[in-house]
Amino acid sequence: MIRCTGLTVALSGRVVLDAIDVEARRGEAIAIVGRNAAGKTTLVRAMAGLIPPARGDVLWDGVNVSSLHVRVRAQRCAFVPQRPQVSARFSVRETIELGRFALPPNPQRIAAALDRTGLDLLADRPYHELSLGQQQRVALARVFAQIADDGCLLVDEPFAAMDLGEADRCLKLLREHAQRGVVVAVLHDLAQARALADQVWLLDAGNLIARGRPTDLFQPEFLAAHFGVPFGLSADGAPVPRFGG
Amino acid sequence: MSMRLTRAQRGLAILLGAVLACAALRLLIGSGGFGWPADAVVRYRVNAALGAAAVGSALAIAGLFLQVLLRNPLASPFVLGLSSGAGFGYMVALFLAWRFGIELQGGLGIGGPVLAATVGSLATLAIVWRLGARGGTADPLALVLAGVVLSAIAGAGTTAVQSLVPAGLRGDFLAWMMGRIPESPPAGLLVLVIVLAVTATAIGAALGRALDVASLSDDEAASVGLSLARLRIVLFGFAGLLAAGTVTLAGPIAFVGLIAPHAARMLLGPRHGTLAIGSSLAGAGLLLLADTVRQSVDLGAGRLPVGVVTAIVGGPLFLVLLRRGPFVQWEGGRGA
Repeated sequence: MIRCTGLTVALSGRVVLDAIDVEARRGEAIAIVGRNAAGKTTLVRAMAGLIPPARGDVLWDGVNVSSLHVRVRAQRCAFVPQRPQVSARFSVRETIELGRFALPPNPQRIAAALDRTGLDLLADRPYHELSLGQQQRVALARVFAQIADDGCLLVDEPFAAMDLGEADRCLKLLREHAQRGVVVAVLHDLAQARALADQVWLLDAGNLIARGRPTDLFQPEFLAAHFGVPFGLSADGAPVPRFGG
Repeated sequence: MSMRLTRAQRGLAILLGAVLACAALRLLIGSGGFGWPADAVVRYRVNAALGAAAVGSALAIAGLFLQVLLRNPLASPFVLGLSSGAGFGYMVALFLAWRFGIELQGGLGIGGPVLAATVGSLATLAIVWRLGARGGTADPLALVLAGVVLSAIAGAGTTAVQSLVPAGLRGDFLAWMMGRIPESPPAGLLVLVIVLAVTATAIGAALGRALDVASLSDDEAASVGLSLARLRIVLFGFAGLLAAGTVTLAGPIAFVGLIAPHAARMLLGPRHGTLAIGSSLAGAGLLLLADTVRQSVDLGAGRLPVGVVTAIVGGPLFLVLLRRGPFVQWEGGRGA
C-alpha cells in the first residue's frame, strides 16, 4: 500500500503539489488524470520515492520511503516514465534483464515478461530499432520482470505511443497486476482510465480536486467543465470527448 | 571436444593480440629504423611502450565512464575539455612551484602537479555538466559545445601561464601541448598512470552491471535499484584523475578516449563489464600504434608529437561516426 500524507512538492522553488492526501491499496488500480501541468507526473514520481517532498510523507506499507535503501525500494516498487530511455545498444531481452539489477537473475521471469507483453519474437532485436510504442512495451516488460505479483507499479502515460491493440493488451496486463498488487497510472485518455481504474484522482494546479470511482466521476457535464471540451458517453458508459463540437 | 568462444571472449582475445603486436612493433621501431635496439636504448623504448599503453588505456576507460554516465556517445576527456582543464591545472602548478621555489622533480614531487591537474579537470567537468545537463539529462551537443569552449579557454590560459615560467622549467612546451609520450618519464608518474589505468579498468569491470543500468534514465535507474548520483561521483572522480595523470605524463592527447570505447563496442557488444576491459585494451593498442606510426615518420624536422597522429586519424573518424556511426543510434526510439 502507498499512502501520501500532506504531500507537498516544490520544484525550482515553485509548489507543484500542495498537501496531497491519497492512498493506493493492494488489489486496486488508480488512474491520475487532469490537464497539463496539473502535477500528475510529479505525484507519481513522488510516490515512487524519486522526488523528496518539501513537506509531508510518502509511506510504503507504513514505512517512509525516504528511509528505504534504493535496492530495497526496487524490490517493492517499479516506475515507468512516459518516454523510457536506454542509451546503450542493448537487445530487447538485455533491456528487460536490467529490471533484475537489484535481484537475483531469473530467466523464467524474463521469458514470462517477454511472453506476456508479446515481445518474445522481438527478444533479440536491438531496442533502438523498435518504435516508441514497442519501447514502451519493453519498459512494461522490464518492470514485470522486476517486481513481485503484489508489488507496486507506478506508470506515467504508459500507452501514449502505443497503437490501440498494444494499448489494450498492456491495459489488461496492468489490470491483471492490480488483482494482487498496486497500479497507479497517469493517463490522459479517460476511456483508458475508466477501463483500467477502480479509483480516479483528478488533479488541477497541484491540488487533488476530485476522487472517486470512474463511473461516478466521469459525468459529461463535470468533465466538460473541467477540461473545456464537450463530452458524451459511449454505449458502455465510457467518456468520449466531442472534439470540434 | 570443440570449444566455442563467445563474442566477448573472441573480441577480448583479438584486442589483447592487437595490443601485444602493437607493443612489439613499438619496441622494434626506433628513430634508427626497424630492429631490436641496442642495450642502451631498450630502456627508453620500454618506457615509451609502457607510457603509451598506460596513457591510451587510461584515456579510453575515462572516455567509457564519461560516455556512459553522461549518456553521451560524443564524450571523452579531450572533447569535454577535461584534458585542457588538467593541462591548465598542471601549468599553474609548475608556475607556482617555480614562483615559490618548490622542487617538483621525482618522488613525491609529482603529487602537486597531478593534484592541480585533477582539480583542473574536475572543475572543467563540473562546469560542462552544469552547462549541458538538466535534471540528470544531458543534451549531447550542449555538453560537447560547452567542452569545446572551455577547452579553448583552458588552452589559452595554459599558454598564458606557461609564458610566465622560465623556458628551462617548462621543457618542450609545444610538444607537450600536442601530446607526446616521453621516453624517460619520472618513474613515479609512469607507475601512477599505470596503477590508475589498471584500477579504473578493474572498477569498470566490477561495476559492469551498474554501468549497464546507468544507460537508463535517472528515474528508471533508481527504480531498478541504482543510485546514479553515487556512481557518478565515484566514476567522474576517476575520470578526472585519469585525465590528470595522462596530461601530466603525456599532455592532452586527442580522440583516443573517444574512439577506443566505440571500437571496443563494435567488437564486444554493449555489456559494460567486458567493455571496460575491451576499451582499456583498445586504448592501449591505439596509442601504441599511433606512437609507432609517429616514430616511423620523419618529415624532416624530427618526429611529430603523438597527439598530432591521433588527431589526424581520430578527427576524421570522429566526424564519420558522428555522421553515421553508433552515435545516431543513441538518440532514442525511431518514432511510431
